[in-house]
Amino acid sequence: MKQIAVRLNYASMSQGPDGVSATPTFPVRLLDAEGAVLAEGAASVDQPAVLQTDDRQEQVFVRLTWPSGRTETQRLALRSGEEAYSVEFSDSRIAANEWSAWAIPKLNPQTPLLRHGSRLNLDLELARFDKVWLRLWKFAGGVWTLQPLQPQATYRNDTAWQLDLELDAAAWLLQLGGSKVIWRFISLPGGGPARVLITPRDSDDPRADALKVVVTSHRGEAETLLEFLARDALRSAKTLAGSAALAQQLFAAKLADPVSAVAGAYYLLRANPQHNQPLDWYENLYREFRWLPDAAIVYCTRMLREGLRDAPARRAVRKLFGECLERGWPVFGEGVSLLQENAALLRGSGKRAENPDYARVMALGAARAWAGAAASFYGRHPDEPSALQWVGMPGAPRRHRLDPALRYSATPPGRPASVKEKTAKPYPPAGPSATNVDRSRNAAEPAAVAPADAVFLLGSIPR
Amino acid sequence: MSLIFEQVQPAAGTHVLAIGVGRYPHLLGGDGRLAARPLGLKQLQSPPVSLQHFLRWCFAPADAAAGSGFSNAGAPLASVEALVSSAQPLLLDTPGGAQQVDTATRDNIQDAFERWLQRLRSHADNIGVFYFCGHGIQVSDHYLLAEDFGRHAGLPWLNAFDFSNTVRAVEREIAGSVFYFIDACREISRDVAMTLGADPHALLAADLSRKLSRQSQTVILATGEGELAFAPQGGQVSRFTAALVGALSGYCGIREAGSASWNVSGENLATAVRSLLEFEALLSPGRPQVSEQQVSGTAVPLLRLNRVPQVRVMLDLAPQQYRPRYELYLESLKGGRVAQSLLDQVFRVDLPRGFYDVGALDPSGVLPALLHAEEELMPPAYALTLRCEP
Repeated sequence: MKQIAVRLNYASMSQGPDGVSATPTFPVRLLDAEGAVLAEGAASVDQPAVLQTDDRQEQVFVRLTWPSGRTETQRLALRSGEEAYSVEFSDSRIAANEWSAWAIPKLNPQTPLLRHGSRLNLDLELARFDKVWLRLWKFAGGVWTLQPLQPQATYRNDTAWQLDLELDAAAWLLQLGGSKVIWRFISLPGGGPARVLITPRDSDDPRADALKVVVTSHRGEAETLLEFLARDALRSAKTLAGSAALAQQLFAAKLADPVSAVAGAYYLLRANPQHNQPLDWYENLYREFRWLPDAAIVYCTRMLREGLRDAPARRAVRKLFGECLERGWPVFGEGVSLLQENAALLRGSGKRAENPDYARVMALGAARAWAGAAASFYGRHPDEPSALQWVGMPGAPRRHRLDPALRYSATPPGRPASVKEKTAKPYPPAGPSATNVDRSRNAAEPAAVAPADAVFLLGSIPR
Repeated sequence: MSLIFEQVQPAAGTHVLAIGVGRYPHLLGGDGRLAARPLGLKQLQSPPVSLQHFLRWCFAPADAAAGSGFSNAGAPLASVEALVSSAQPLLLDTPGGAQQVDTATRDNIQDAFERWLQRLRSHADNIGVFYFCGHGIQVSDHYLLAEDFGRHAGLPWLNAFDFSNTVRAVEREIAGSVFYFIDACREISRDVAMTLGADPHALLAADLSRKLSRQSQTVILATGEGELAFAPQGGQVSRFTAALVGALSGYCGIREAGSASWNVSGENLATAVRSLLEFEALLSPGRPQVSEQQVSGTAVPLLRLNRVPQVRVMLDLAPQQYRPRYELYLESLKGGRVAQSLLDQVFRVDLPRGFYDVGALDPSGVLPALLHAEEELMPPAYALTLRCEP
């Protein structure tokens, strides 16, 4: 047998904020000249993938795959009598700005950041987005409240902006919008540092938003796993997970890192329905981390998929479903899909109006936006995801488009239009300022909204 | 009658349910009483034609040199049910000759679905294929419209069905795998759809007492939410069905380590469909169409092919004025070379997947040689424009 060690020299992608290191891990495959797979494994900066092939092969191709779908391939000539080989993939072509290199594998394969990284002269005219605003929302005490957006560090070049945040253990949402940028929310992982990169759209997809947002919390393996899942790239996820070993390991280490644990749980629920971990693993995750919405979602999903044998089991799951929503919205898009699945199963057909929680999840599903592995949705307020699209400054929202088909939108007589009514509620009055948000607000009180002059503008990030 | 093919298999088999709805009597332009709220939806010419195209692929010879049909030694074709609603009566080509089938009313869809599901339950490794072409509406979940949609003013959604919840119910009923191909317009934007009060029933209610039991599930949707599924004018095969059948006809497949066949599973099929839609957009620029997929479970192949998958190659050279002075070529690293010499046109050729040196040579030796070494030609398509900078 011939043995090929595949190493990843991705120093720039391993750079986190001070004291934080991430370990990007990517699937690699060994192919013959027809493209047939001979072997596969996962390579990281710390750990090379060791792939084996038989002695008959005279040449093989080693292919590295990013979550974006971009691949890099190297040819390797195999000689008789020589058994050990080494191949290295380097990030030298994308490391011009080390602070943004981490995001490139999550962006479109043709992302301008890649070209920028190769030091081509490229200017995406970011100044046109200078008035785009950002707001930060935190879920605490059962309500979403605005928090001052005070990045620990900011970065900007000709292709992207970046913010480093430190978030405590809670559900968080970043909201952005502008006069031509549709208002949307992106979930941020709590319980540590989070890094957000924003870049102009890099895709021809007609559904793509004007600005693309990618998020990392420097959990290399877990995040890469979820990025592959978000793109339905289950083969790559499986290669990365090593037939569920990584996912189980992430899950087992839940006390140390619950966010990575839910990533492992999401993988197991999606890719390995027959090899799920025991229910009590999910239950422990749910009980230990009550601030983490995804922990309740994966437990609820696992129980539903196990089958509900009797009425008490059904009542328990319905209660659990309610708890999922009491924790805020999920961190990951996979959680939105599972919330939809759970709501639909518990609601049954033809009973939409009976439980407002189901209507909220339906609204979330209809309002979904794309931010890779992160959960994202459109709307004006975190509590009210909405398929209606809004633009403008926070104090002056306006409809993005008035679809001609709206003439058909009248609600049929006798049918409730819960979502429509909710979105038609008056926008909450503006509060004094974002920095004056009352942290001791009673949970029953409505959340205040920061005035326009308190929002964080992309244009305020210095070059 | 909707069962157009049945061949009892001793072990696992593949069971197809295919539905094409072009005639909607109660929507705009229909010949029935107009629905109280037709939602701006009209008659469709493409679904019957697209359905026929899909069924021809089901019955085409396996591993043919070009346009190969269904092939899976592990789960051979066992049954095909079809329903079609078209403006004119339609005869479907089947191995037993031309057949007329039932129309795609809600009741007929329900009956055919229940028979299809019963067959799927009959073996733990059975594979189901559910194909639908017609109108659809995306709210949070996805609803599909039967021929008689809008027939009852008091119950406007009675003759639609909740596709998303049907999928969720089926995965608790079977032990095998299902592939859903949904070629449906979702042209009503989600914000409008949310206000419609739509709440059709699924074809099957989920039994929550049952454990999730399926091995794998693939849903490939023609367009993103709120987007039109495109079909050329004049009753032609829709772009999505053309891409789907193209991918299934030998332009997709991966050979895993230790496998003797090239397998087409949900993930690589979804990727191939998306790539073919992008490739076709290169040939006829217009509004791009993007398919979507949801893939879950272990990878179970829909097809097991004995031939190396093919790749549609489009090799061009820029600036165009240099084309007639070059020979464009692809040279396989396994051996073999194809070329187009001194022609002012794009070089189009189908080649087996694999690694190639791709380049251009000026036979007179005046212009520089161009080379992209060790390019991987991955199914279903490969497009490259070589750039000459003398």
